[in-house]
This record gives sequence, C-alpha cells and structure tokens, in this order.
Amino acid sequence: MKVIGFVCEHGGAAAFTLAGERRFPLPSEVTLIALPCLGRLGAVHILRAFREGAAAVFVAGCLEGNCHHLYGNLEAGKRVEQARRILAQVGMDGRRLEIFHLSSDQAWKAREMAEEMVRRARELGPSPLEARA
Amino acid sequence: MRALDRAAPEGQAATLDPRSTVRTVPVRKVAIIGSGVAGLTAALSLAERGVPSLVLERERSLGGLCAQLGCKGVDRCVRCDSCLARDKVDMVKASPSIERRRGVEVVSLEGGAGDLRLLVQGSSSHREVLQVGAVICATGAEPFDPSLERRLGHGEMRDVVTSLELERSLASSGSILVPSTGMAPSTLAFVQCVGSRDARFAPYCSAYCCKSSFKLAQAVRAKHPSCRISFLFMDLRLHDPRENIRLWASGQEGVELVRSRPSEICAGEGGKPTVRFAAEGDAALEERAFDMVVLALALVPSPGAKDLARSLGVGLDDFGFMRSQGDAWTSTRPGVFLAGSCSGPKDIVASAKDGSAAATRALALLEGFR
Amino acid sequence: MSQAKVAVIICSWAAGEDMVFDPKALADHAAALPGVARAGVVHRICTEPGEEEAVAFLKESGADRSVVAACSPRTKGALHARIAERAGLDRFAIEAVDVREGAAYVHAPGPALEKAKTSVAMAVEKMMLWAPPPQRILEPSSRRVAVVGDGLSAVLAARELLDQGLEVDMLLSEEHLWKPPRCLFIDDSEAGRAMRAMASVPERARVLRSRAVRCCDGEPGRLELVTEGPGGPSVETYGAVVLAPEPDLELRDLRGEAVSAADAQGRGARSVIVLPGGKSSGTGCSCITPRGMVFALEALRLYPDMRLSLLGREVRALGGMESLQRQAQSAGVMFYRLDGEPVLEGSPPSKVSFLDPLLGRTELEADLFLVDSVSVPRAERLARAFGLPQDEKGELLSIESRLRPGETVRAGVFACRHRVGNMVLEDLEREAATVAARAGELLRGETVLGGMVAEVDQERCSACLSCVRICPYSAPRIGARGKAEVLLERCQGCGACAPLCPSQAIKMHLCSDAQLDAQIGIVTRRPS
Repeated sequence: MKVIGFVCEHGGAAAFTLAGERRFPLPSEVTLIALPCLGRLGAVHILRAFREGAAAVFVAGCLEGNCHHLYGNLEAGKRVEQARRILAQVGMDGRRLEIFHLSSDQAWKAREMAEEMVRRARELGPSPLEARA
Repeated sequence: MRALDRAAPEGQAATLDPRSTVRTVPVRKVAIIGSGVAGLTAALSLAERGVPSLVLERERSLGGLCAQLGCKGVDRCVRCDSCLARDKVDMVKASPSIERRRGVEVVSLEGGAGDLRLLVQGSSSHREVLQVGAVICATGAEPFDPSLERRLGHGEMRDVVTSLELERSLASSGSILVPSTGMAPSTLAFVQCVGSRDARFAPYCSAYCCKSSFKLAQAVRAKHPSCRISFLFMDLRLHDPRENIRLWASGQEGVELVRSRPSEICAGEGGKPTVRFAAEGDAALEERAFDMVVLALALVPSPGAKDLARSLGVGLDDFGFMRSQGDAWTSTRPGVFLAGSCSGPKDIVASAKDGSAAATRALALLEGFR
Repeated sequence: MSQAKVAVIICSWAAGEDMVFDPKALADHAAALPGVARAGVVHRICTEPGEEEAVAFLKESGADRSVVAACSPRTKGALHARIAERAGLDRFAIEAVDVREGAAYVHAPGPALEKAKTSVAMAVEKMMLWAPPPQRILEPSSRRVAVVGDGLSAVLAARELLDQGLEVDMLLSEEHLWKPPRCLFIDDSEAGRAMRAMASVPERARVLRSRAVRCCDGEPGRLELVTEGPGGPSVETYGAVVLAPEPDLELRDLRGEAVSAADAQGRGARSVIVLPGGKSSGTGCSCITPRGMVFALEALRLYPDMRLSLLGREVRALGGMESLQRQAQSAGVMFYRLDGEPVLEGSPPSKVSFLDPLLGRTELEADLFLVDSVSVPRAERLARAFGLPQDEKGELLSIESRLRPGETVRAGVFACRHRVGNMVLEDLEREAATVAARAGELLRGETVLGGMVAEVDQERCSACLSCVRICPYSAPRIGARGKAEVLLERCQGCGACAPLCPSQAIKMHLCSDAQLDAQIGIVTRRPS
C-alpha cells in the first residue's frame, strides 16, 4: 500500500528532513515527491497518483502567508479541491486526499501528517484502482 | 543598545588609537561570534558578497535562541519568524565560503582593525589563533531568570510557565497544554514585562515580547478556540502597525486586554495559579485563577557578556549590553562590529537585519571603503 | 531517451554513520536499473578527498547526468553543482536524493533499504528524462545603483552602497533633499551624524535632480531606467535600484505645517499638546512615540517654562527608548493616556477633551496643537514605474521575504519599509543597511539564472494570458510573435504557471510533467 506525499521544497520537504534529523520514525508506506513550490502541482498529478494505485495522497507545503513564492500554497489548495471533486465522481473516498500546511521547523507536524494519512489509507483499504494499475 | 541618558560623547571615535590603524592589506576573512539569526545572516551576507567567514558557536548546535522557538502559525503564518533559524542554518551549511566551529569560546582578541588575532578555545582546551580582518559579535542575549521575581511563582507552580517554555513545547510537539494536567487550557493569562521596565532588573523595554506574546496568543486560540485569554500588559508595543492586537482581540470571544502589572501570582483553589492585579481605571483589586499563566521574559545580557566584552576589548553600556558607537553596529573597538541582541534587545527580524548591516561594515573595512 | 546514461553515486554515509543498511547494496541495486551507466559508493563526498573521488567517478563513468544518494540536498546543493561542473557535466545535471534523513534515519533497516532503493530509482527515472535547461551567469553590466528617494533614507541607503565600493546615482524628485525633522534624533550627536551624512554623502554620489522615474526595463545587473527631468527624458543603465521613499515623520500643526521645537518657540507657544495620529495616520495606532518625546525634551531645553503634554493610547517606545520616557517625565513633560479619539474645541482650537482611563473625561488647553502621525508618501508612481504592488495605505508592498528583507517581486529592485519599530534614526539606518546589503549581494555575488525555469512552447501557446496573470514575478510576457515567453532573469521556478496553461504549453525544466509522472510510476509499481 502506497501513500504519496507531494511536498514543497521550503516547507514540506524541510520539515520532513528535520523530522529525519531528529530520527522520528516515519511509516514506510509514505514516499515523498519534492516540488519547487506547491504551485507546481496540478490536479492531474494528484489524479495520476491515484490512477497508478496510491491508497492515499497528501500535499504538504507552507502555511498561508509564508509561501516562498507568495501564493503557490493557495493555488495547490484549489487543485486539491478540483481533484477531490473528480475523485467523488469516480466513487473514491475524498478522505484519501488531503492538503496540510506547516513551516520548515515543524518536524512533529510532518510526522503527524504522515501517520494520519497512513491511518486513513489503512482504514479505507487499498485503492480500488490498485489492482488495475 | 544605547543608554540614552549617558550616550558616548561625540568625538570618541576620532581618538587616535594605535589599534585603529588598518594594515595595508587586511585579512580577507571575518570571524562571527555566535550562530544565532544575527550571526548566520551576517555570514550569509558576507558570503554573497565574496567575503569568507568563520562562524564560532559556543554550544553544540547552531541557531541560537531562535532555534528553540516554535512555529506559532496554526492555520496560517503569523510571521513569528521562528523558522528563520532553521532556514538560515541550512543556508549556512550549504555555503562553501562559511566555515563553522561548534563548542568554541573566545579567549582574547589582539591586533588592529584589518589584522586581528582571535584566540579561541575548544572543548578539549585546545587553543587556536584565528587570523581575521574583522570580527562580528553576535552573541545574543538571554531570557531573564524568572526565579528572581519570586512574586510571580515560577518554579513554585507548575502551571506558571515562561514564554520560552511554551515555545519549546510548541517546537517539539506543537502542543500548548496545562503542565500539571496535560489537558487543554480553558483559561490562560499572559503576563508581559516580566523583568522588563523594572528598575530592579531590566530597566528597559525588551522590544520583542508584545509581538511574540501576541502570536503565542493567536496560536493558543487557534488550537483551543474556546480558551479564554487575558493579556496583562503595560503598553502595547507591536512593531508592525499591520499587526493589531486590539483589532484581533475585539474580533474574538473571550480575549481581553488588561492594562495592568500583576502584583502577585499565588496558588489558589486547587493549586491553580491565581493572579492578583488591579485593572486600569479601577481601584479594586482582582484575584483571578487561570489554568495556565505565561510570563513574557525580558531579554538580558548573557552572564558571559562581561567576560566576552573584556576578551574582545569592547565596551559595555549601562545595561550590560555591548556598547555601540557612531552607529548601532560599530563597537567601541575598531574592527569589531555588533549584530543582534548582544547590543540590545530586539526582535528576530531586526537581529537579522543587524547581521546584514554589520556585514557591510566589516566588508567596508576589509576593502577600505570607509 | 534510451541513450541516456546516468551515473549513480552512493555516499558512504548515505545510511548514516551507524550504517542502517549497506550502501553497497544500494549501489548494486542502482547499477541494475535501466539507463544506469555506473553505480558505486564514494566515501564521504562532502569532504575534500570525497569530492575528488566523486568527480573522478563521474568523469570515468562517461555519463552526462548523475544521481547522488546522500543527505539533505538543502545543504549540499552548491557542493553537488560544483562536483558536476568539475566533472564536465552541466551544473544542473545532478539530482540529489536524501536517503539519510529520508530513509536511514526514519525507517527500520529493512524498509529503509527498500525506501532508499525506491528513491534512487525515482531519481534515475527523473534523470533519464533530463535535458539541459536554459541558464546563464548573471553578469552585471553596471555596478552603479540608482537610489530613488528624497530624504534621509535615500542618503543613508546611498552611503551604505558607497561603502561597499558601488557607484550611486541619487534620483531626487525635486531640486533639493528634504531636511529630516529634528525629532528623529535622540540627541545632538545623532543629529550631527545625520546632518553630516546629508552633506557629505551626496558629494560621493552623482545627484540627479527633479527626476521622475517613468519605467524600468531590463534584468538585474542591467536595469534600464527611463527618467524624465528638466532636460527631457533619459535612459540610464543600473545594476540595481533601491527605492527609499521618505516617510513623513514630522510633527505637524492642524494646518499641516511641520513644526519643530524651535518653531514652537518661535511662534510664542507657551503650552503645546501633541496629539496622536490615530486611525488616519500611517501607523493606524494612537501612540506617544519617541519622536514626540524628543520634541518635548528639545522644546523644554529651548524654553524651560513651556508646558508640554503628550497624548496617546500607548507609549510606543521600544527597547532602550524606555529611558527617553523616563527622561521626559522627569523633565516635566505630561503623559496622558486616552481611550478613543480626542475632540478639539474652539475655533481656532484651544482645547482638547478626551477620555483618560484613570482621570475620566479630561480637558486640556493649549496654544498649539501638533499631530504625531506617520505617513509614507503614496507611491503610486513608483509602483507603476517598477510594476510593484501597493498596500491599502499606499506603501510599496514588499514581498515580506524574511529570508531576504528588502527584496520586491521585481528582481534587482529593492525597497525600504518604514512603518516598523521606533521610526527614529536607528530604524531608518537599519532599513537602509538592509536594502543596500541586498543590492550589494546581487552585484558582487554570482547569480545563476535559469535552471528550474518555465519555458513556453510557442507552437502550442494560445496567448490566453493565464501564465501572465498568475506569475508573482511578472516573468511571462507576450513577446513579439504574440505568444507568451518567460524572461529567464525573472523566473524563480515556482511552477505555478504550468498547471494553469490550458494548452499545456509550459514546460518546467528540471521538474517536467513527464518527470513527475515517471516518479509517481516508480513509487506505485515497485513491489512492496
């Protein structure tokens, strides 16, 4: 079972790195894909992840007001909503997708996010698309 | 920081001092003492202008006081700047022209501007002489020791915490919980100016605390929306007029601003911290129990500041901070510059800007533009 | 694409000092991946011998691109670029994977190795699709900086720039510099220092008077400033531009005239009341400020019998200014707190009434009423000329970059912020030092343009302007062919434009859609 996290270089990735420096155990189901900014993310990438069989997808980036590129994090919020609507149309539970905001020193939050998404994935079961991928 | 009633007399900078002559070719390297936000910014600013530097840190890890603070943004960034230390440490590590030494202390400084010999000592008593052209002192300040203010009960009641303790809790787990119960607070008081504006301890304003406590209060409300907050202050001194605590408080149910300096905090019913204070304009004394009380501590010169000043040959002002002369980033010794709260209490952003300003002065010295 | 050859370097410490897994196992796995020319363990690449070994490894591999599995790329980016260049690769041809913090430190040994394998495989797939991105080194054609401003802030910024060996043009909108108000200076020594700067700094710079800035084009290091002056329009090239619009920090009477302590004495005022600026002021708050206190102390010095009262809700004296308050109080200056707005009575006003929380409704009489409000000149012209946003009060909106204060959304253009702190000389100096440092870093450092940047496929572009609208840096513009093109010197690589393009015409170099898809594919297809 795979959980994919799209993380921005400044907020998300940095927080996960700090969690790593502090040796916080992270669930091995989670794999991160780094982006220069959350604004890079399109709904198409989120949907691709689900289409390829990911059980859950999260998007993690900077707090509102702290995006290094001003508002990429807010743009990503719109993409997540677009993706969620499409997921609903194909009958996939919207809880499999989530967007989180954190700052680069919030290692505890990175860990909590990862654990939360794995918990949801376990609860909701493998993606209905996993077999087909 | 300038002690305004006793400013250095004009003309001191012009005194002929044999140490003040710059040697023909200054050593093209700057030693930066302290790896807090000010020191890291100075190092980065120098690196980006082609000047190598060496950051000397007394402790085992970089980042200074700011690195202990926690992000106070919950649903949005509140610009508390505590992530600055983390980001700058990474940037410094990434820079090839910034060397770092941890676990070292300054012993002495000899020579003149442009040609300085800084003697440092590591943990194993191993001493080393560093040849540099300029020194930037960015050793920061320390939080006031609340046990000196016995009336406020820190150390006697678990639920009277300092703002720094709250920050550490935020940084490590993102939580704000009542220490004795581990539960969310339903009532919380911020007591400002602990140690500050106090003739006994720090007879000045510590500059960062209104802003910082305001953001802590926002974090408390974001995590515990029904927690009632009382903010006890003397004057509201927020840096940025766009940050308006009165506006915020008026838009929140259960947040009150009280202009008052409490006389005492003692253990009341159930051991709860009970604050005794007189509200503005009211003759009557109030005694109110809170689940938790947060003390906003003054920033005072670090205990080692006096020795360090002596080792560096720089002056101290009447408050014990490094004395500046001419402008806020030039010390009383040619070739030694100041950045951050070692010269006076200030917030994180100002400390960072100090780093850039001190870096320019060091660079100007090394390149003879001044 | 099948010709692509990737060299994979596993740092010996990729699994941490305590070797949570064997780096060789990771290298062996990588060697078997399609497209990998060579994979091996290099000992501690962040050391000097390690770097040499890595460079040699790359050269011998014959690969034109590489993956490095080690620790955090955030701290090793510069090192990797240097290794790539020294090995004859494109500086952007090296992809870093953090298997230490990303796997070794956070998973149990078995899963850690599996995660490391997945991460390396993702990076290899990504690099198989790599192509050299557009790039060039920024070469400033000028070390001259234009400082736009009319007062002390501009002078201070100019001085900071001159002290770095940069050349300065000061562009004044009028014939003369505005004289700074005396109340900015805590004591005579500060006043002296500032006035000496006002006199000497312009001598070291080139001063262009009565100049209006019309627009600014070009790139950082080569900014073309079009200005209009008495002799007509002119174009000058600058390395950087510093905007230092002067805040109005004077105390003004009710007619709006600036009044210094000497002026008050000159008018024969025996009692002066300083009112706070209130909602109408730039600060938006009704405070007693250090400038009000300095004014009062100065007035008392000139005319010891003058009665001075300062009204305000808060006494906003940060840091060491506390002693200023004590000084003023000991000298007999009256401090009154007020709640709400004060009401002036009489024509001309001779009385003010207000609500003091302790005293209740209070009335005070005075010969002279002054208002202490901060206003920043409305910067519409500057905003328009430089393409910068403004806030609701008209001040230039900086990008509030706490990592790089002073920067604006326009690369190469730096702006002072003023409504912060005590707004006395030290604060103005600090702001000037900050923006000048940014300009110095740009002009004296080496900036690489390009790399992770957007590029518009002109064939596909439908000129819908979606990218133009979304970009925070105004990097895309409609070019001569009527299609969008991205200015290399402005693009910061955030990628916000790419998902919005309805024609899918935008490629993000170093982070293309194909690369993202490939990475997603690797994650989901690997057997768990």
